[in-house]
Amino acid sequence: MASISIRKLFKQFGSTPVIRGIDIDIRDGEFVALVGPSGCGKSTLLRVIAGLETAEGGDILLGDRRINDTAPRDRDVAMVFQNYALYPHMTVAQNLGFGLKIQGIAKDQIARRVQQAADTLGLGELLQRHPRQLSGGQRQRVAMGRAIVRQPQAFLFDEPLSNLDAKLRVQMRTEIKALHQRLGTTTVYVTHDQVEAMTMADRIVVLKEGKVEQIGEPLALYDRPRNAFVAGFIGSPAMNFIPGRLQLDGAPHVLTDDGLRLPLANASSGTHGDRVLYGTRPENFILDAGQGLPADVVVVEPTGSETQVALRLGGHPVMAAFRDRIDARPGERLPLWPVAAKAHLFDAAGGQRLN
Amino acid sequence: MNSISRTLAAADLAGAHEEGAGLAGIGTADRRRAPWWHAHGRSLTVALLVLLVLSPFLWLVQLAFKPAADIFDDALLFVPTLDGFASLLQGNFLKSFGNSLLVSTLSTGFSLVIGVPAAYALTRWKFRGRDRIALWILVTRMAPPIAFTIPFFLAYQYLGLQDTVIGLAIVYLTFNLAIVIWLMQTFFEAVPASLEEAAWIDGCGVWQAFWRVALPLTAPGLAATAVMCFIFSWNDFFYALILTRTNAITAPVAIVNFLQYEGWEWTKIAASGTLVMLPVIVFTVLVRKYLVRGLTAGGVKD
Repeated sequence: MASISIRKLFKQFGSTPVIRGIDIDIRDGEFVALVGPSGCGKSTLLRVIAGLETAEGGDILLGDRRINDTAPRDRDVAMVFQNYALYPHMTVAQNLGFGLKIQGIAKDQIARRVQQAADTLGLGELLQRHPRQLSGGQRQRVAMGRAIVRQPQAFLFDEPLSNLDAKLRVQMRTEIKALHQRLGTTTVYVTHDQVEAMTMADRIVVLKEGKVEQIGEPLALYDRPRNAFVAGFIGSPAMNFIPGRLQLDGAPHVLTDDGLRLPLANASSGTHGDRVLYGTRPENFILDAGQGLPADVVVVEPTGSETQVALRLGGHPVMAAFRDRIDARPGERLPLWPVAAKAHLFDAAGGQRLN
Repeated sequence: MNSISRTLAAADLAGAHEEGAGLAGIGTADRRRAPWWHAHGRSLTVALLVLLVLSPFLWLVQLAFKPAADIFDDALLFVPTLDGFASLLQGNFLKSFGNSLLVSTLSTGFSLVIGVPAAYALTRWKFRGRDRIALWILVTRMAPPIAFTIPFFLAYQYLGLQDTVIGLAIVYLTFNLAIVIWLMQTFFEAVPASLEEAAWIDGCGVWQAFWRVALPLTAPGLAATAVMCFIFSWNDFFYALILTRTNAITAPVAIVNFLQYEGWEWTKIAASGTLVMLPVIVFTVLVRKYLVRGLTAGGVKD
C-alpha cells in the first residue's frame, strides 16, 4: 500500500487538453472517488495513474517513487475495467492467477492465493468456468478478484459498476466498500454516479473540464460546496438554483426578479445588490402555512421513503423532497419555505460560494 | 394532394386484396395436389448446380481410377484400379509432392512469423504513416505475378537460389505476407484493447501481452489465414515452373511433366491431380468453420 500524489498534471490528446493542471494527494489506505460529467478527464486521470496514458507534464508519485516513466507492469497497481476485461480464453482460476504467473510465483502459492481471493469474493464454485459462462455480477467479482489477488500498492476502478443492473450495483457497492475496509488498500475509484461516490469514498474529487473543482469528504461537499457546479453535481435530486439580487438591508435575503423574498441566515461575502444564485437542496424546503411562498405543484413522485414534488415557485422550476407523505396533486398550491440556515449562496457570474 | 393520396391508398388496398386472394389460391392448390417440384425444386436446382460446378473435378477423379486402356471410354461403369496411383510411386512425383509440402509449409510458417507481429504492430501502434505503410504492403499484390518474374529470376540466379526449395518458399512468402498482414489486422482489431491493457497492468510487457492474450484470441483467424497461405503456395504453378528445374520441382509442375513428346499419360495426370487436390480439400474441410468466420469477421459489429 502507498499514497498517491499527483502534482500539476497535464495531459492532452492531440491539441485538446484533457487534464489541465491537477493536484491531488491521496493518503495511504484512502478510498478516493473521482467524479465529474462525461469528458471531465476522470477516466484519463485514472489511466495516467495506471500508466496506460502518458502525461505531458507534472508528476505522479506512488509512495515516494516517481512513476511517470515507469511501465504499467512495474507500477504495482491493479485496475478493474468498466468492461471487466477478463481474458476470454482463460478460466476464472487462470484469470485470477495470471498476474501472479507472470511474476513467476510458484504454482502452489498461486493456487493458494487464488483460492483465498475466490473465497473472499464467493467465487469458489466458479473457478473452472470461462468468463462467457458467468453473469455480469460474477464477471465483476472476477475482475475484482484479479485485482486483489496480486496485493498491489493501489486499486484503480474505472466505472466498475456501470454495466450492472440497479439492484446488483447497490449490492456490489457495499461489497467493494467492505472489501476496502478489510484490505485497507489505497483505492482510486472513477464514477459518473455521484451517489456511488458519496456512499463509498472517504474523499471525493469533483472534476470539470480537466480541473479540480473541489476535494473533500462526501458530506463536506454536500453541505458546503465551493461553487455552484459542485453544488449542482453532488446530491440527487440536484440542488435548486434561483437567480436574484442579494439584499443586505435588514435581514439578509435574496430578492428574485419576480419579487420573491428568499431567506438567508448570513452572507459573509458579497455586497448589497449583487446578482446571485440562491441554492437550496430539495429536502431543505418546509411547508409553512404562515410565511410560505405560493408554489404550484407540477408532478408528484412518491418513492416510498420520501415524496419528491416538482413545483413552480414564481417563474422558477424547483424540486422539493419531504420525508412525510404529502397528499398533493398537480395544479394545487403549496406554501413552500426554504430553510434559511441551509441555504447556499453563489455568485451568479463565477458561481463561487458567498456564504 | 389529398385526393391523390386517397387514390394511392385505395390502389394499395386493392393490391393487398389481390395479393391476399393470390396467396389464398396457392394455399388451396397446395392442399389439393402439391406438385413435387414445389417441395423439391429448390434442392434439385442446387444439386444440379453443384454437379455442374464439380463436374471437372469429378471427371478427373474418375479418370484417376480408370484403367489406362479405357481412358477415352465414355462409359461411367468400369472396374476401378489403383494402377494410376501405383505408377506415380516409380517416378519423381513423390519427391515433387514432398517439395510442395515443404515449400508450402515453410512459406506459410515464415509468413505467419513475420506477418502476424507486423499486423499486430500496425493495428495497435498509432504512428505516423501507418496507413500508408499498410497500403504499400498491399501494393505487392496489385501487379500480376508475371511482372515480378524477371527480377526474381535474375536475382535468384545471382544469389544461387534458383531451383531450391528455400528460394521458392521466399517467393511465396513475399506474396503471402500481404494476405497475412491484412487479414490478421482485422482479427486484432476485433480484440478489445482493454484486454491487453489488463495484461500490461497484470505485469506483461507488450510482446508478452501479444503472445499470451491477443494471439490466443485470434486463433481461429490465424488458422484461416494459415490455410489461405498454404493453399496459395500449394497451388502455385507459375513461379514453380520458372524458378525450378529438377531439384525443387513442385507437384503442379510435375503433373505437367507427364505431358511428354511420346504421349500424354492421362492416368498419371489424373491420379497426381487428385493427390494434389487432397491436402487442400482436407485442410478446407477441417477449418471450414473458422474459414467462414475468419473471412467475414469485422464485417459487422458484434
